[in-house]
Amino acid sequence: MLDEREAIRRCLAGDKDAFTVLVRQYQALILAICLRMTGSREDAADLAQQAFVKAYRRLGQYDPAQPFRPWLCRVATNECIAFLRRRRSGSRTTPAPIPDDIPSDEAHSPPALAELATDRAQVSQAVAELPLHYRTVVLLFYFQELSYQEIAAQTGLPPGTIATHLHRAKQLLRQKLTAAEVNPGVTS
Amino acid sequence: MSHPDAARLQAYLSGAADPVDSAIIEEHLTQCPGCADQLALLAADDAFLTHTLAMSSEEQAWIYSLDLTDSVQRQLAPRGVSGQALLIAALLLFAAGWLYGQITGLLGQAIAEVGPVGLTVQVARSLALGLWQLLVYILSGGLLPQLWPALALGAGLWLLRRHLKGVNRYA
Repeated sequence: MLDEREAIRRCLAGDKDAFTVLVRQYQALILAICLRMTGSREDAADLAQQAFVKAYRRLGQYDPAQPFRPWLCRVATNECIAFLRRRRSGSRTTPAPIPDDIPSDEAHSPPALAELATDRAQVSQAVAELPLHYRTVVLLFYFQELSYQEIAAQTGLPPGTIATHLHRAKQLLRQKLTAAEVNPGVTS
Repeated sequence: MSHPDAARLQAYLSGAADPVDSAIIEEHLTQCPGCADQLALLAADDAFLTHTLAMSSEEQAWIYSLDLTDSVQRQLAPRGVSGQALLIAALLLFAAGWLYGQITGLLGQAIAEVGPVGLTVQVARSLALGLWQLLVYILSGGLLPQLWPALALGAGLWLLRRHLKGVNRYA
């Protein structure tokens, strides 16, 4: 069995079969990322496949001195973001503007998200409905468990903006889950 | 100090605040139960989201039921030339051959009549005259009836593009 470095070296030398080792090793992770980003199994399977194909074609840009896993995750995340943008622009519907001044909940003690959510699927659905830039940061931080520095390197956002995005995303989730609690069956 | 806003607290909680800001916030938290409560809420939400966004056992079963190796390999395999591409190539080759025959035939005939230098002079003079006549025609308004529909179409397409850009502003 080839190890990861040897598989990458062989791929760079033009051996496509060696890429199977990398696909087998990382397909669960890449499928999971695509599933959380899109919320759809069908789209996730297509996007994971596309991400691997793109990774193979861009393997020349990968720096072998760096770990392969974060690079591959970045390719998959970018593939999902591009897909979600295409899908949104294709829908021809104007998304609701994102308020910059989401009402502050500092004046009173708001309930924790855990108190509002009834099950895991409801939270996943609410996250999937977040605006793309919030959703991306939430998934990179809570799901891929990247640090602020890693998220900044991947998205180009300064750390302060990442913190703001995380906070606003949580406020929006709180609003969505509260609305769902008041009106069961409605998450947005 | 004033109360740190939630984004600052979030950065502090995630270990992303700079050391100076971290020290200021830590000092503030010892004196402000409200901010300490808010930090506790943020931490609870962080733990909840990390736990909840992890894959459920059903999702994991779906993920591990898939094998992408064959489908990825199929996409990496070099694609053969399609029949449609061959047909287009054959048509283009035929058209290029026909055009080449026509041009060389005409050129050969012209060179035989006036010689290579004479032909060059004649072509240059015709081009210059043609351009001059076109310019005069446009300036005198002769082309306007034909230009209006083209201008209107161009403006319409430009406006449509601008509109679509506006619709996709949040993309």
